[in-house]
Amino acid sequence: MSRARTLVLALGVLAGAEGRAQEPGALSGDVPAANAPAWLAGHRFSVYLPAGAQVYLSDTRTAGGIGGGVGLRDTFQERFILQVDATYHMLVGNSVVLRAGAGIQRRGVYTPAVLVTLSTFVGDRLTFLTPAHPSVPVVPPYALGLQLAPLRFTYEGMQVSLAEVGIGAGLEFPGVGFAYRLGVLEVSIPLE
Amino acid sequence: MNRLFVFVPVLLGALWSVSCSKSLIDNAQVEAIRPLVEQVEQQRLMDFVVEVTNVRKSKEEQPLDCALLGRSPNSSLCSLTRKLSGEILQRRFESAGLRISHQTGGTEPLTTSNIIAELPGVTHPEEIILVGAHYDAVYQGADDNTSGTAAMVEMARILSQYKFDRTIRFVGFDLEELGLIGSLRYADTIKGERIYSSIVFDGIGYYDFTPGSQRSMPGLPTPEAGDFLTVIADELSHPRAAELFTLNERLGLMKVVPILVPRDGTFTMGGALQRSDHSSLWAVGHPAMFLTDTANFRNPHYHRPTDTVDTLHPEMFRKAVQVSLAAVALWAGGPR
Repeated sequence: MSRARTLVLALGVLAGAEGRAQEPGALSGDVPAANAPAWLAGHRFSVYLPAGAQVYLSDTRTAGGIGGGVGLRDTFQERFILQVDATYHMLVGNSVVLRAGAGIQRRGVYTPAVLVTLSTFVGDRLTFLTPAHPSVPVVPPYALGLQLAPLRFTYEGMQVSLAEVGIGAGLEFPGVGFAYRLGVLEVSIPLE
Repeated sequence: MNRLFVFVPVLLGALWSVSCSKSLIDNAQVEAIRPLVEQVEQQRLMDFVVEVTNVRKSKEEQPLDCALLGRSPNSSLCSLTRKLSGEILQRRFESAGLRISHQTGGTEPLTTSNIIAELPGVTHPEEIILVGAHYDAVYQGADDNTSGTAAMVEMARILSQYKFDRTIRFVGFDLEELGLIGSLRYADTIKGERIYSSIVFDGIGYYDFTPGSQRSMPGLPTPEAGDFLTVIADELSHPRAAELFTLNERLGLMKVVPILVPRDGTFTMGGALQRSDHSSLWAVGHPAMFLTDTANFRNPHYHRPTDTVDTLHPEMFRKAVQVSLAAVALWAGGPR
C-alpha cells in the first residue's frame, strides 16, 4: 500500500471513529450558543503547554534542542484543530520555535490527532559554510510537516498528550533540511 | 492557496540569494596574497616539528612534577613539557625580527609564560590580528600542538618580510593542556584592546582520507573522511570565517569546514566546541576562530605516546598553514 493511501486511511479512521460522540456545541468547554456570537458556536479554545525536543538539521544549519512553551488552540466541533505555539529550546544556544498547525482529532476521551504544521526556528543556531552556502543565511530555517499525537486523551475539556512525533522539511536553496519533533508531554487547559 | 505555497518558498529563496551573492573578496586582493601563500615551505614546517619533538623525546626537558599537580602517575599530563619548546619558539620569532615580550603569571607549579611576538601595523597599529597556539604538549605532541606552533613560526617568517595596515600578533600560550591556564591569563590582559580577528591553532597536521575516519557529534554534518580543516567561529567572527572560506575556495587549497556558533559559543552543545585557547578569547568578548583537525574525533594518536611526526600529513598540513596565512594577510590589510 502506498504511503499516501495509508495516510488517507488513517485520516479516515480518525474522522469516522466517533467514540463518545456528542452534538457540536453541547460539550463541556464549548462556547455556549446563548452567550456568544453565532460564529463562535462549536469552538472550544484552550491553552496548551508542550514540552519535548525539536531539531532542524540540514547541511548548512542545525537548530533547536530541548524545551517547552505555550500555545493557543481552537477545536471546532470537537473535530477540527487550529493552533499556534511558541516553544523555547536550548542545546544549540537559545532558540524559539514558532509553529502553526491545523488538523483533525478523534472525538471522545481517546482523542488521537494528526496535524499539518508550519514551523520556523528563530534565534541561535549552528551554521555550516559549504561551497553551496558560502555565507551566513539570513532567513531562519522553516519546515512544513506532519505531526501525530497517538496518545492523546480528553476529559471535560482537559487534554493530555504523550509521545507526539512530528517530521517536516524545508528548503535551503539549494538543498533540503528536515525538522524532527518529539513531544514528551502536552497538557491543555480549556479557556472558559 | 496554491499560489501561496509557491510564493512563500520563492520569496525566501530570493532573500537567500541576496544574502549569498555578496562578493567577499576581489581578485586584486587574492592576487596580492597569492605570492605570500606560495612561500609556505612544507619542509620548514616538518623540520620544526622534528626539532621540537626530538627535544621532548630526548628527555632534555623535564616534565612537570605530577605529584605537585595531584595527578595519577598514569595520567598523560605527567608527560607535559613546555620549557625548551617555548625557547625554540621564541628563537624562531626573534630570527623573524619580531618584537618579543612575555606575559607571565601564577604561582608554582602553575606559573605561565605566554610568548608574544608582534609585527606592528603601519596605518592602524592599534587594531590587532591575533594568531595563537599553545606550545606545551603531552608526550611528543607532534600534532597537538607542535603543528600549531610550527604554523605560527612559518607565518611569522613570511609575514615579517612585508608591511601591513594592522598589527599581527603571535602568541604562544602556556599550559593549555592543564585547562587553558595561559590563555585565560592572557585574555584577562587584553580586554580593552581592539582585536579585529583571531585564529587559534590546536592540532592542524593530521589528515586521513579513508571513508569513516572522521567522527563527529550529533547535529554536526561532518564529512566521512578526515580530509578537511575545521574552523569554529563565534558570532563576532562569522564574517571573517566566511572570508577565510571564500579565500580558500579562490586559492583552491583544501577542504575547509567552518562551523559558526551563535554568540560567544558558551551556550552551544555543552561547551563541546570550546576545547582550546580560542574560548579564553570568547570569554572576554573578543572574536576568535579555532582551526583544528578535530583532534580525537579523527586522530587516534591524540594525547598518546604515538602522537609523533611520522603520523602527520605534510602536504595537508602545509595547505592548512597556507589558508591561515592568506586569511591573516587579508585581515591585516596587506601586504603593502
